Amino acid sequence: MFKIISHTADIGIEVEAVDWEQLFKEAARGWKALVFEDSSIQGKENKPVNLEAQTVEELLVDWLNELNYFLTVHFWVFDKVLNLRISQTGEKGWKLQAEVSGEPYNQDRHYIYFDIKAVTFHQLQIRYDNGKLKTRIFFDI
Amino acid sequence: MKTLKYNDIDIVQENEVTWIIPAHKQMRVPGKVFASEKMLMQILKEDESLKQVINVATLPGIQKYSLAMPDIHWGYGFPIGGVAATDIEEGVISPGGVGYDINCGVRLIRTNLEYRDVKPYMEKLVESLFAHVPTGVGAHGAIPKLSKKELNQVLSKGARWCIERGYGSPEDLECTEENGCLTMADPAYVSNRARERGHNQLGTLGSGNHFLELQMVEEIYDAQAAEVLGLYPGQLVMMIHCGSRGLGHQICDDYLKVFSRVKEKYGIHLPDPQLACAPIQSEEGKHYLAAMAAAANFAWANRQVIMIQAKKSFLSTLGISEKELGFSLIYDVCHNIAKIEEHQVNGKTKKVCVHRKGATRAFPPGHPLTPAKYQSVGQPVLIPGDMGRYSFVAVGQPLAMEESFGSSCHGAGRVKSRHKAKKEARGRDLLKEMEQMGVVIRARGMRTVAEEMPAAYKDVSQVVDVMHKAKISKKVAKLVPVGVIKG
Repeated sequence: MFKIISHTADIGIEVEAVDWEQLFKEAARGWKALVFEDSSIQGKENKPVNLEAQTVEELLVDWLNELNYFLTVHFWVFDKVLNLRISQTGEKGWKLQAEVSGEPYNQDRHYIYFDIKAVTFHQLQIRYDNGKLKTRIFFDI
Repeated sequence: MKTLKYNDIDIVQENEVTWIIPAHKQMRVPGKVFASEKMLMQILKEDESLKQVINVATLPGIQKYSLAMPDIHWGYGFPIGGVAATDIEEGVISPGGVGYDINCGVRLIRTNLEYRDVKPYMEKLVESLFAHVPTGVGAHGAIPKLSKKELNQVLSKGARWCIERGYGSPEDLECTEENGCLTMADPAYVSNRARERGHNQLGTLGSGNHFLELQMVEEIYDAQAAEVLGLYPGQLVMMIHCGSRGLGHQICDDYLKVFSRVKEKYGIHLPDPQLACAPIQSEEGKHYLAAMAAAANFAWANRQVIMIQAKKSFLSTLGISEKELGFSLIYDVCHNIAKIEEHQVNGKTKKVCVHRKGATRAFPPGHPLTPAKYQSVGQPVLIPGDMGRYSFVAVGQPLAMEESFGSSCHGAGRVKSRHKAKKEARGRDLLKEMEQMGVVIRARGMRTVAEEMPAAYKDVSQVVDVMHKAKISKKVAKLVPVGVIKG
């Protein structure tokens, strides 16, 4: 699950999940809820995502930045995460393989509420608490 | 003189509008906050931005003070409204001290027109501006898509590229901070992804708090300075607020990652990871400075193109000649930047890297970098407020060089979260309310109008008054909005 956090000058999401895959999926859902709110998005086509990072926090930032990149550069809006696999590659690396569905941006159906400049590292720490993975992600808008 | 407590730390009043946070623990220099007592109490109550002033004071090589302008609020790493100068030999550079929107800034353009004469055409003019200046997320298409070679030229030359392509005149460069170009830029250090994000965004406004406003000069505080700047009561002027778009955001993101990986290499210990930094003389530091300067150049070119697109709207909508319009740039300032400048430190002239994050350069009369035409009054400082009340024009003062590394405030700062503003806007006809206030507005969506409504912002006049009383920047004119376009 995710929850939107809104302070005076910043905005973010709080995410809770049972495993890494769910954490990354929920973070993507939170990103989508912030950017598009209730716009109707259809999963007409799929795109692969392959990312590598030194830490799991960096991987999470890269993952959400990738969704932002699809939107701002390719005018392609994300709907759902279809397949997602997170793995640790040795002691010093993390890897994400996913497929996401979505469609080209359509200004009649998609209203973009927030222009997210970047996903930040502010207070970004994924912790294990009461059998759950928890984190907060803030966005620069 | 009073002393206030903040988390067991004394904040000592120096004068009516200046407060000192004495250096303690890891702080290398004291903090200095420009604010009235009432504003300081508000700052202490509402966020942790003073903790960020303290964190910035721990940066290696920081000189004199970690500074806070009166519009300070919480930001990522550095506070917004923060200024820090670091020694260029021993000190560090931090992307968090510049912000994601590199060279976000403000440009003010004068006209020969009076608001009362243009008022009957205001809706048509705002509509035309909205058509000529792309706004919103991923806005593009203001000018033909740039080739890789052309984008490299923009990144190297900044606003000068625009002049060479017919977007403006050489006089515009004289009225732009750094003449619209940081020569330390090197496009080789700009990533492919940053290029992808920027190549079709030149001449676009973007979204959020960025705007293009038509304003009327409502009040003059300093007749001599106003005359030099070409401002008079009733006059119609135009203000543009935007930055380096996706290109700058990506550069900040790229280098925050690079810097977070080298802290151990350089033995840098930070109280907040968003303060990630590297020595200015390191390979990583030099690469960031070169890429940041390229983004700054992109931003100056962006505002230059927007200005010329807007000029087309004026000419076509009002059917007047260029001479009758009298469209000319008063000044263009950046308020998110790091620059190598010369300042006095302990009685000696020293080269420092001045980080201004949500702060405006405010050089005084006679300073060699103050444009020739403003030598007698000081460099113009442009301070936007909110879209319903007012913005201000000020000029830099000599004390700014002693007290704030030639820096002043940059704006109002939010007082309500975007969600709270949106909630309060429910059931209200904000466009009508704005119309009743005498402001014609055109935005891509009502959500932006709700989030940016005047009540969501602090009163910028209080911010400007603090800097006026501190003798950092002197008030010249008050401008009220009459037409607004937003993303």
